[in-house]
Amino acid sequence: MCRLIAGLLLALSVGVASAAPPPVSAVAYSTDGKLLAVGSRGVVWLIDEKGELVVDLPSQSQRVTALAFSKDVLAVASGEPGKSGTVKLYQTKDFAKAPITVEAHKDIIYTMTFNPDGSTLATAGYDRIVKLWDISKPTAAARELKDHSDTIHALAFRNGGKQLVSVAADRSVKVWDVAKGTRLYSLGDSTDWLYALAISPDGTKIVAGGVDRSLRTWDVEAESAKLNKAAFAHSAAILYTAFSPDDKLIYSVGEDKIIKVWDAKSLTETLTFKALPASPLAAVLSPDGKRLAVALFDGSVQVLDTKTGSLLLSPLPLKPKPPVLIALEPSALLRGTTTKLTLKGTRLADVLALKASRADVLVKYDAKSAKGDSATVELTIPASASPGNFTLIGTSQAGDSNSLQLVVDAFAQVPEPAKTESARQSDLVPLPATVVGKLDRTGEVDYVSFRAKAGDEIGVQLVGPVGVKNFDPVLTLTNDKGQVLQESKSSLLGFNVPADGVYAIGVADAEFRGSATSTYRLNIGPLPIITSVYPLAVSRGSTTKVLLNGVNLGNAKARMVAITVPADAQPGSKVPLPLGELSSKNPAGAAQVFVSVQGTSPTQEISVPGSSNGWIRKPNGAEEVSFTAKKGQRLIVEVEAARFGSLLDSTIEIVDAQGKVVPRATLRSVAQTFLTFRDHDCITPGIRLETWNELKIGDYLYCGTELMRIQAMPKNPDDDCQFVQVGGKREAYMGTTPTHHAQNAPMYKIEMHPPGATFPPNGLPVMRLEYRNDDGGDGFGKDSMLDFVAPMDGKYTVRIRDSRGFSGEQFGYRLTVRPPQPSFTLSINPMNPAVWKNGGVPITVTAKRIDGFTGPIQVEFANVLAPLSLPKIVIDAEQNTAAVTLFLAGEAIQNPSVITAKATAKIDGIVISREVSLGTPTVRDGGDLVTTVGSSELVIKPGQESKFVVKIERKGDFKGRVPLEVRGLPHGVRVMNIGLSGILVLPEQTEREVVIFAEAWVEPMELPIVVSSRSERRGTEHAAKSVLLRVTK
Amino acid sequence: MLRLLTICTVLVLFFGSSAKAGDWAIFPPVISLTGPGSKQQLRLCEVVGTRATAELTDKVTWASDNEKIARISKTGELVSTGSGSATISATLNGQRKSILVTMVEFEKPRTLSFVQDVQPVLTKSGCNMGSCHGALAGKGGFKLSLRGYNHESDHFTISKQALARRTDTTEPDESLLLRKPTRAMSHAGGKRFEKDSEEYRTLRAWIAAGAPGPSDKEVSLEKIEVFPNLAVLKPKDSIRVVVQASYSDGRKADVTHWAKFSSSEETIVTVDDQGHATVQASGESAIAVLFGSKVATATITVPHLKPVDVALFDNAKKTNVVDEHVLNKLRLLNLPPSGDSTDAEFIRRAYLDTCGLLPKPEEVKTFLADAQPNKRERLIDTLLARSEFTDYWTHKWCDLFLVSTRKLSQQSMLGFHRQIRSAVADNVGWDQLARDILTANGSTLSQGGGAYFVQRKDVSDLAESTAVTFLGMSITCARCHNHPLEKWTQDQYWQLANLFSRVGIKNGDRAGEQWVQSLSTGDALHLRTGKAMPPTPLDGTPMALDSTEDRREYFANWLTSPKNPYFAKAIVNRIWRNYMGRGLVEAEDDLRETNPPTNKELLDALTADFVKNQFDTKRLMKLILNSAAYQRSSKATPLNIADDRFYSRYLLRRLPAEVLLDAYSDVTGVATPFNTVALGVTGGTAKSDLYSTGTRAVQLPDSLMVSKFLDSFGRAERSVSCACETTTDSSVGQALHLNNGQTLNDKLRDPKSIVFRWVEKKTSDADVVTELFSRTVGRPANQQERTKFEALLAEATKTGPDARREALEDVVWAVLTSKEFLFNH
Repeated sequence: MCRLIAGLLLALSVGVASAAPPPVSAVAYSTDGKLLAVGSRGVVWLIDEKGELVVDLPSQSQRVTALAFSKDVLAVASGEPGKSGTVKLYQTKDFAKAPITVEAHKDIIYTMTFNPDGSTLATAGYDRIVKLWDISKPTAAARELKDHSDTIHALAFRNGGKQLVSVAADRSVKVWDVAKGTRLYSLGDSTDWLYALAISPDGTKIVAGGVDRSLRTWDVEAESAKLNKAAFAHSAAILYTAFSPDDKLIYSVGEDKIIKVWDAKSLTETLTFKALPASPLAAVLSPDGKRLAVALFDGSVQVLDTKTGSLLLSPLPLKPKPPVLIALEPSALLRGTTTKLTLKGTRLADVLALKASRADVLVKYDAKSAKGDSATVELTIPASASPGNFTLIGTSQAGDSNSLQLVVDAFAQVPEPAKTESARQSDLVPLPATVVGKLDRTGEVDYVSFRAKAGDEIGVQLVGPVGVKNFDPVLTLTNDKGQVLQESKSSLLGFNVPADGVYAIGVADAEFRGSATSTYRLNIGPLPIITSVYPLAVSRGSTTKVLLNGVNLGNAKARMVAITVPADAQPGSKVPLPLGELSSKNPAGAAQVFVSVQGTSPTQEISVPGSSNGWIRKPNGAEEVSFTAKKGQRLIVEVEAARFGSLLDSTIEIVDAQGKVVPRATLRSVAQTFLTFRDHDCITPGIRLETWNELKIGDYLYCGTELMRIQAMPKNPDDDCQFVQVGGKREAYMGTTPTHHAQNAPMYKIEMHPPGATFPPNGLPVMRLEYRNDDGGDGFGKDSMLDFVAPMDGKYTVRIRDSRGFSGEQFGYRLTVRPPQPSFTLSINPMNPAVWKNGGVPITVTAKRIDGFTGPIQVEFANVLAPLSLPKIVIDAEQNTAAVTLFLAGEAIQNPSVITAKATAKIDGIVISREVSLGTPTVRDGGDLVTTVGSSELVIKPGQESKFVVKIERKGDFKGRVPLEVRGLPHGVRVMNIGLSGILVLPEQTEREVVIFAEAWVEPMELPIVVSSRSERRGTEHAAKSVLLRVTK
Repeated sequence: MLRLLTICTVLVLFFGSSAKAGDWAIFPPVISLTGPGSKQQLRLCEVVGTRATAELTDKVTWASDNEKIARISKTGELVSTGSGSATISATLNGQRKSILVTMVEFEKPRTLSFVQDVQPVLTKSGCNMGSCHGALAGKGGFKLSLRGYNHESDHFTISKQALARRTDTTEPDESLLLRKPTRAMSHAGGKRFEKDSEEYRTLRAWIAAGAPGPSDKEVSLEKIEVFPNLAVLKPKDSIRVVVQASYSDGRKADVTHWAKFSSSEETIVTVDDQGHATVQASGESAIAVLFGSKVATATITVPHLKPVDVALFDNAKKTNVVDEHVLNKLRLLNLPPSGDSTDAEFIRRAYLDTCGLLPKPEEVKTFLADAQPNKRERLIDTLLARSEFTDYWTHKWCDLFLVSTRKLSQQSMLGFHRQIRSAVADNVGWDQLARDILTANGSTLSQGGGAYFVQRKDVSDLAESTAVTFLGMSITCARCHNHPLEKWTQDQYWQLANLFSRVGIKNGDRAGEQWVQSLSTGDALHLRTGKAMPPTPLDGTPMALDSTEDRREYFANWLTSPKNPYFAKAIVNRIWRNYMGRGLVEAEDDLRETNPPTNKELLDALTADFVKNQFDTKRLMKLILNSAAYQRSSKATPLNIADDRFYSRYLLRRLPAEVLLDAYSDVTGVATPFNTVALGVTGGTAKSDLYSTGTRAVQLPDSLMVSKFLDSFGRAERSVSCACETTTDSSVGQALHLNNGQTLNDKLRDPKSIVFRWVEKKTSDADVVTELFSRTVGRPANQQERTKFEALLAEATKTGPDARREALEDVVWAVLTSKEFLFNH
């Protein structure tokens, strides 16, 4: 079969450009609806539900004029006008089996149909005779029905096959007794030739149509039938008609290229399809009634959705297919060799060229070598090629083939050794080698041992399969004691062997997954590999020498490259290093540095502002960088390492001339609570507290070694206390770092005092903070940062180490000491907001504060044209976000334009501003809710409560409960009456009173606040027009 | 007559070893009394070697050579009468034993101490016990710390609280503290002591002296000793022990009267509250003595009485140090060992205990055919090198370390599992593994041991489960008060806990990854005082509170030091239990002074050997496996049938849940699918394709893979550090599971099962029985079994192929649910 199709497509692909395809003249669905038979000149194609060609039946005589399926047989009628009408009977179980050919009529057969059990086939056409064939012995017609005086165009069985109905150009519908071969009655209501006929599945109705463009239905009675309805249906002849399987609908296809759907009872149109692109010649409804296939004069077939009329498939004309590459054996190639390989695939003879994804692979392919599904390819890999994956693609006139994965091995292939279980007892592999293995079980780690001599430089490169999920390789290097010397997630390792001995490479998935597809090729030997560079970053506007660390790269001189970075280079951007002579070695690994602003100090002493480069030299060791500061001078001490690709997770501390870590603050505990309900991680801003009677917004709480700050109190007994978060992560203060906390851990509300402060005991602990930091907070990742104020004139030293005690060349850093440059950046959510007609949406404005800037930020919006409103707001001092309502007081936005937010803040006496686009708002309709607040202004006094009423209107069929939310409240103002599920408007209610409270310390101000309701079923928010909150004395 | 003879035999057996019968010893062996009127009860015992065999205190005549220094009563009570030395002698039937006693500071009356004198009275009298004033809320408004662990608070309560209502320093006898317990006033707690008692006198004297409180210069109790601490007795014998306390100022005192006594085996020895022990039956029991947060034990051994031929001991097989000590103990107890196991028994036993695996029929055949004398030793070496050994022991240690997605992400769980598996595969020393886990730094994926801290974020949890995991002891009680059964005080607990207070955990780079690191600040605060205690390992050297040295490192150094008295013992006991069926200390993680090992010398010797050999677990296993004790038959002899703990035979035990399930898979040829995981915190289950078909139960890293079979047969949940999690008890649930449950029946009905293979291959009835027995119990069927099974199959065959298949299922089921299969023997 496969061969047959291939041949056909070849023929087609050649013929495709030459002439218009012949018309499609017949269609039929198999009884299970899975196959669509399509007849054209000399051929029948069987097409599956996806529109793919499954079988073709060539060598039909001239044109195919009718098709019919029974469960076991496909009947194909073809012939030549005036000469022949042949029927070929194919077995549906085996289409390849030669068909039985019946010379059935003397002229074209226009119609054929099987009786329900498939035992009888009825055929008819230009010769006016209906013939009934017994399928078990089709040598001669079992019966002939002669009464029509003109061409018969359609046949249909009725009453379980006991009756046959026919329509003809003689304008009559005739009903026959099959067993007796007699005509029962004739219906003569039509005024012109009849083309189309259908019987309702329940057998009670006949529908017919033809050149008089009318559709008629008859009610079948015992001895005759009575005309029920007639309707002018099309503007040209009706070609095809059918009943839906439930008898309720009638479909009609007209020569006017229109398809209509009718209510079978009233014979009124319920749907008209989009006009067909060409004249229809034949049509068929699928047995389930869901699809209608139409054969068109232009050689195409359309399969339409009967519910909507939309095009589901367009299986004809058949499109030529590109070749498929299945396999190339072997799929791994050793560099420095030329290999002849066998390519397996389909349509390989169409392949014009095979192209490799890498330039250094030489491919020789001759399409003439293609024999059936295999061909010969010759690949040459130069000795200098770097190991790794590549792909091969075959090009053809019909397009490119799929790509085939291949791999270049560095060394001769060695299969996975028998013993790989243990780092200390795995089998030895002689080097160099490309070890081929697989992690086939979850939890598996393979170890490959090798012997090495002191001074050897061993490069390891893992090449894994491309696109395999669940395999993210990690390499480890262990010594003969099983101790891990190196770990790499980059699939590369470089190992300068310190002493003769046995070492092992471990291969694992980063999450210890294993599967049949977790295969790897481990190249171990004299591979050139760059493992790190030093320094990680260079100052812009200067030339810096950078050392490449790694193996097989030559001596220190060869490994030193110079790079010049222009003065206008973007700080923090990556710059590739020129490799010079080394480039011929094709080393693997990243050769790049980052651009830095500050000048680089050549020593471990920085002159402020300035930077110093270094790396952690000893396990558990610390490096020291010093600087001088004046009493009270504020400086930012920051590390750039992890952000520059270093493996370092830095921790820094600042020590004074006496070698003591400089004290930062004394924290006096004044109240105690406990974490409860669950363990807490280091990110989530919500923490469950046991009690919070003595706590309030803005309090600092100390837990473990983390100092955090309350952003919002728990709303109810089952709610978390919200702590200040930046960028979705909990913020820690005074140089402390967020960590995990155990359930039941004590938490202390603290007061901050200067270092050295003492207090009378109150039964709670006193903590002393020093200038020490692990993670610098938002934007720093694992890098450290300290905001340092020198307690006195003098020299200070920054001690930097890895927080886990790790060390090595790959643990590089750049440490900078500089004055702070307080500023901020702004972001807005959502962008391009969709605002409700006569409604509002909340807009959140978030500021990222830099270098300790804490002041208020004013935000104003430009280009907000009526009927839109978007009032100005303020991000309070020390706060990071504010919210405001974008409201549309109407149905449409006039002249939609881009709204911009301009944020300004006074920092050290200078006004700094930032502009951010909000995008263009769009209008949205059909929301579930409309929210309104009684008054447009709300007054509250510090230390007091204030109330307002929120009304909601439910739209459409929405009846659910509605949670309310009040946002954009100034810091220190909060909603009081929140229940277990928030502020709820119950299903029967339409309004709710909201009580807010202002802490006594809140300063007088005016600020618009956001009051919104939420549709829980759609997850949409509906804000009321901004309410101005006035805090007054 | 017979009884006498028996006793003689026993004595002969016992005396036969070293010392000669009839030696006397006076206890305590060193007597020095301080202050006027100090007293010490002396005991005279007949001894053999270091063991007392009878107490003669009341039978001898006591005399002092200088009554101006010391007087002695007829019952052996010594009283100081002046400063200096005197010789005290005991005489009976011409035999005489003397001891030199020293009396000091007779002229200097000792001030009574609240801590050393008053608290013991309150504790002994039960005033501060949990049901009285030691209750959390106290009783009748009077609240003491449980068993007197909080001296400051108790002193305040007694002497000052409520306008000092409880003590009257001017009229001491009017003190409520004296009137209530003597029932001079109504007392809901009843009469605790008499007015003329030692208790009354002590409390009165203290009140009269002004009720002084604990001071910084308080003399501390350093240790208590019990005498005699070893005894070999006969049923119905009794012996009275004396308890001597040693204080930091060098003073020794008789505290027998104030001590609490209990017996570890009440059916063997009972003890009253004055230290009077009475033998009830043969066996061994420890008398635990508690006084002032210190503990001591005396072991009383009672040999079995049936006459035994000494040759049974002399000729018993001895392979190594294990046998030396096991046989010594058996000899002492007069329990002759069973004979050697058969080769067939041995191979099955060794496979199951070492690798959790049934030997294959061909492996059994080869082994049985092997004629070389060292074949067992070679088999042991082979087993210890198999990858199934790694599977089995990784699983054991994962039970110990609670590897599970219960509290860990799947990634961290697998990382932890991997670390343990690597350690087993590499045979990393136990000290190194402990260190790797406890000092893990960085990602939980590359340093799997870090998950240990992710699971236990709370310092208390860390301290407690570390104690159970690595020291085999529970210190949990000491979190809130001094340990009632052990010497650990609340202060020590918080000193230990503070070693774990500087562990930081952060989210890692990928989902499910955490980063663990040591911090340079942070303290765990004492639950009661709210103060940070200097980080100190148990009985170890404290670290300075302001030291920035890595506390975990410091703890690991102490833990894995060869001098650590608990670390090696704990793991030796766990490994011993795996192979011998019962720990030298039972439960295996209940190592405490008051729960002494059944063979202290053996545990000490194995521990010493283990430490000397770099904590090499495999070496220890090899030693145990090669011992004659391990290789003994599991069949009891009439002479050792009473023994269930001294290793006179191999102890029967049910196969662990995982081993049994894997054995079912192996025998039936149908693997168990593990494709559903229970969701820890959230509840419910989820499909999991993590473990491919053919993954064995012992290979499962996660205890949350759903398996009703494993649950029913007592797998460890891995939720708390406790050996009690794994059970090998039999239950009705298990029986029901085997009868009606799906696990075994599904395997038998699976088209891949051995039953279908037999049907397909038309295996003969005789061959079926042969194969079945060799695959399951590793021996040929006996005639009776063969006849029955074959008849059953033949009968079913007559009915038809379905009946035959069912009959085949039935015979396999019958063998797989038999005791012989379910048990290791």
